[in-house]
Amino acid sequence: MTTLLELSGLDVSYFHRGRPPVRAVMGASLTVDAGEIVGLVGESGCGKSTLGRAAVGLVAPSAGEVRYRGEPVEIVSRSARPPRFRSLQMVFQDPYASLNPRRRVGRQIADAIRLGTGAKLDDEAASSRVVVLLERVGLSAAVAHRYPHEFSGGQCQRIAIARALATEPSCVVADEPISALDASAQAQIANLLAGIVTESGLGMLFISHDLSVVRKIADRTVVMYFGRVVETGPTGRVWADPAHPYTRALIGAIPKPGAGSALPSELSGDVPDPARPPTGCRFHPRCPEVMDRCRTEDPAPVQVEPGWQSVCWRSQPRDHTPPDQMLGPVTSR
Amino acid sequence: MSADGWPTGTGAVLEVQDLSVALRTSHGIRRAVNGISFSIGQGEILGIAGESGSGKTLTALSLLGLLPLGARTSGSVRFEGRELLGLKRRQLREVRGKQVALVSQDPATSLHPLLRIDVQMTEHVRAHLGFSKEKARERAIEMLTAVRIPDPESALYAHPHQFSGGMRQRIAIAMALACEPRLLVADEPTTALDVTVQAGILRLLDRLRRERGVSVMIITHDLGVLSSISDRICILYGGRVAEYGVTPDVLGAPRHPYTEGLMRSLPSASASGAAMVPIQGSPPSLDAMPDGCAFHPRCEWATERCRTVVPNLRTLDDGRRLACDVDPLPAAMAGPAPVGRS
Repeated sequence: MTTLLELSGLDVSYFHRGRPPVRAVMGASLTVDAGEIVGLVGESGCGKSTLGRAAVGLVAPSAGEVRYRGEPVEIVSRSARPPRFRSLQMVFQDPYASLNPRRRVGRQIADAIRLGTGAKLDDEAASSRVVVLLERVGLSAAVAHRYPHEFSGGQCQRIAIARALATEPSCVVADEPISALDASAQAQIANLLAGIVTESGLGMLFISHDLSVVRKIADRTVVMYFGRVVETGPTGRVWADPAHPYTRALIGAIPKPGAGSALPSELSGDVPDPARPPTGCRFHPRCPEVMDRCRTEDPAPVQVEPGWQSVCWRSQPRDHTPPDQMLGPVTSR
Repeated sequence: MSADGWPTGTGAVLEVQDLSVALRTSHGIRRAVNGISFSIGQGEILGIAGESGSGKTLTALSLLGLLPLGARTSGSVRFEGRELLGLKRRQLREVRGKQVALVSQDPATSLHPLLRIDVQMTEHVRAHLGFSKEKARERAIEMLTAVRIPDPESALYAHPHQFSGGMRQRIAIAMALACEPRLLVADEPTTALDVTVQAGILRLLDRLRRERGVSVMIITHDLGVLSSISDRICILYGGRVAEYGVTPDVLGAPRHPYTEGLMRSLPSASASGAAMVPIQGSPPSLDAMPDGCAFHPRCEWATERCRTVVPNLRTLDDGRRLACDVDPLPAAMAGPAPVGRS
């Protein structure tokens, strides 16, 4: 597997005058390989969106680095992006905000083709390519002449995905791409993204606060809490037997549809004030399994199994070889 | 309560019958809610589920007399035996906020950003219940304690922006409860929140109905939320009731193709490892409501009849109401899956 995106020891801080800096991301490391979906989950305010924005160069890291195909990612500026980074694309949460409301859908995608690939295309060639892209995301050619407001949220997100695909990306960062959509559209878009990854072999960082969607489509799951990556591992393994208490709490809080389901279990307390982080393990004030050591000492990553890490004093290496089918997502795509 | 556990007549806190809401749109007058009926008993949690455009929010707003200007209602909404539709502003004010309270989706918009919590939490208590300033303050502290806001006394002196989203929603619920309403209407109360915070709010609602006997109408598109908290569930589609019954029955063995489709599209529904199967297409808009059954363009079992005839809401043996004339699911469960089903 080729590693496309590599974040190592990434720190991102936000500065406000007269206030202490807020470290939104602290020492986060992760990789995205070609052909895999890495699901990044966590509560709002945990820094997952900041991490996603840093991964494509929309915010500058204060320490650590982001490499795309081995080269440090440049921060997006007013000048044109070097062509080597054009295959690194982003899909945002709100498609109504990320599409231009006053430009026809087809033209917006054609812009992306021209700017993203640098190809000198005449209108006819561009529009035939637009049709291909629209069909790939499940829309008909006729929609090219319409404006974003004429579409539902799910259709707009398809258009935004088509525009991201226009540059023939090899890596896509999708920041909460389904959170703003209706229930049936959520499953449609999640399946569409998973299908695109399977077909074209691109790598995807899929950011979501919805653990159950990540469980369905991600090969690997990365759990963040308060700026830190607390658990990384193969989705099926992590879901079946999470190593970190925070991951267990997240999974326990998901209400399960169906007959005879119980009330989801509650995680006490709130995410702490980012300007005044707790000492020791950042999760200790809310952790149901807290020990004295957690209050003072920051835990180091523990390798639970090969490719599976947990940052918790209680985590122990487990010695057994996982069966092959447990490595991927819970369901086959 | 009647023998089969369905609140009827005097046992029901809220009884909605044949409620219709018509809105004026740019294309003329459209019926957004079309003859829906349901009831809520004391201490009961009723879930209303549906996608955007299903009429679920309009239904909630019509209970509170908060419909947009120019909306026309018909049918009947009886709250503790009193008809709410057609009440004058002044009469409505006695009910709204005092006996029926609303918790809306976004706590950031339901709280006034510039007013301190104490002002927002005592104003309606003093107006509705005639409490003194001191007594209203005590009530506010009591309510904030009930929703588990840490240090409620100092919380009263804070502004909304000083709280997190989950805390703000808990304050909004505390505010709604301050006049001890008999019915709480919660419109997507947890949609904007994280699962961990959502779990806290759901447990809070469940505790309130057990300890205080508050009836709750909870509106959401999240069937996971409804199956964990609601006693009965009413699935809306295109402004009509598609399926309505006891929650474990409806979600455990759906009979309407739309309910079944919603369940299959949920990522968390299938612990067994089945893939998500989305319902194709999107919900109809008000201006292009299909003829016949509104769900037929998206339904894999649709027959010729479904395209023209609106199905009647009929009562099944287990007491649930179903609006589907084909009712294909019992047969599909028994026999092989029909062709074309993924």
